[in-house]
Amino acid sequence: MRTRDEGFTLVETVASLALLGILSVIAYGIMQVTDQMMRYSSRQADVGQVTRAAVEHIKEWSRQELGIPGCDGAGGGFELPHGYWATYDCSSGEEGIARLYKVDVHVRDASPLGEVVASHSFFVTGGGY
Amino acid sequence: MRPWYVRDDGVALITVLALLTLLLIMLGSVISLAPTLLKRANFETDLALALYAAESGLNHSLAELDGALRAEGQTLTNWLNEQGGRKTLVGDSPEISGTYTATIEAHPAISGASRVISTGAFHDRTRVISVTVRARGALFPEAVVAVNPADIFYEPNYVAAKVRVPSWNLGEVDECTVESVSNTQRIQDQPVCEIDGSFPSSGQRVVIRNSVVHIKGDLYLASEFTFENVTLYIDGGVTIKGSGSLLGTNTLNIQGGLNIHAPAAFAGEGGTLGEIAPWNYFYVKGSLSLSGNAKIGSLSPTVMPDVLFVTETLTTVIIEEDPLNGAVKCACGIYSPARNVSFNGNAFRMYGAVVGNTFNFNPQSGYQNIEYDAYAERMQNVDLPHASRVVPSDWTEE
Repeated sequence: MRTRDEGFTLVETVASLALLGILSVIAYGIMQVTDQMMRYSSRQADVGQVTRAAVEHIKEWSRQELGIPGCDGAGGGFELPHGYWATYDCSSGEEGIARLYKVDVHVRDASPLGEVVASHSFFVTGGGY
Repeated sequence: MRPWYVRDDGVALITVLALLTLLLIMLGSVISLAPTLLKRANFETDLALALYAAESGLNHSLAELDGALRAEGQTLTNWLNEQGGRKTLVGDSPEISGTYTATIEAHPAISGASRVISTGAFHDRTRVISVTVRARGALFPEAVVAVNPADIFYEPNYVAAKVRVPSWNLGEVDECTVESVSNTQRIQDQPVCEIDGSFPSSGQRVVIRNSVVHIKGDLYLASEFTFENVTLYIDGGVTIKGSGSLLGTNTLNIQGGLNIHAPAAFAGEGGTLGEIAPWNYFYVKGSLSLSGNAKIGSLSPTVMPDVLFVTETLTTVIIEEDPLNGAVKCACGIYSPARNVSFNGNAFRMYGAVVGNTFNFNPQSGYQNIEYDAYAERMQNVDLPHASRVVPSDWTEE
């Protein structure tokens, strides 16, 4: 039934609402996935940022502390932005090469167990140069 | 039938389709944004890690170069010739994160210098950095060397080592066991220990043997003292007025200043062992002052320098006569490439060599004498455990 000024038939109304409903469900699902991706992107950006901060911190530490040959056993931990923190340890870099030290750094999140979210290893030479 | 342009059949469908299109466009925008952000985050991280890989390659090259020059006393040119004019290092995981290729080659524009180019890669990102490297020769090639071109003692070809007094954080260590025996404070055979405050508590004699000691205050040696194979980390300053013996190699790392003045008289084993005698190192972060009739280094039975003073950037070095007590005699080396060195007063006598940024000699009358020739070989062979043979510029990105 249709009156002269009515734009919607009953069938059209039902079909439109059904279509909108289905689309809303799909949109909601996509938004959820997108939200997760955005959170993941943001976390990755944070992890990248704090990893860089951790490496710069350790490079400064090596300049200050590694004037003396040998660093086996040296290391420590420090806090980073956004609740992250890092642990690092130092060892002789390569057999036969003095003054080359390898530093392993582990960036951990703010969870109680401090889950490792990024690890990085690099060579430093200490403050003698 | 009404004309088509006044009919409203299907208008709902058009409205819904328009809404759907709008919604899909908005949804598409949001969906495309997330991977873009993720890519950007990973891109920046990978770029930074590629740079760290390149720096690892650079450090690997410099360390290897330093080891080669240190072991064989070579020049950069000779070493490169042995390598066929070029040396390439390749590093990869799992030793470090990422990979690098570092190449050392003769610098195309600077005679006697080399260039290290290091390419670091992480995932599919690469960064290329380079430094100019010069090889340091003898620390003391002449009696007096100025690093600053404005000084009359400037040596154009001299390459100074970068030196710094190492900071220390020895962590939790036990308190030193100090034996008090007949006005002597004695510390012996303690791998690492600390003294919470200045030492000694009054003007007692001091004996420290085969120990590493962290003094969390000042060290005041007003009476006799003996050090034998000790390493001291001193948070405060050091004053030496007493007479002492330095046996074996001794290293004093001093966060504050070092003042040595009359009637101080101390020496290592240069007087008896000659050229093979071990050196004694005084790394000084604060000012260095030698004054009065102080006698430093082996002057008897034969003269042989065996004490080395090394100062960091923010220090002054003053060697001066005390009108009441006479002048300094020093069988020693003074290495202060970043600071001015002043010799004030009369009758100063040095057996060894001195490196400064600039010099002031202010004799009032009499003489100031630095005798180098008899000790040239010893002074040219002295080296600092903390200083590298290679001196690189700051790196630049290609």
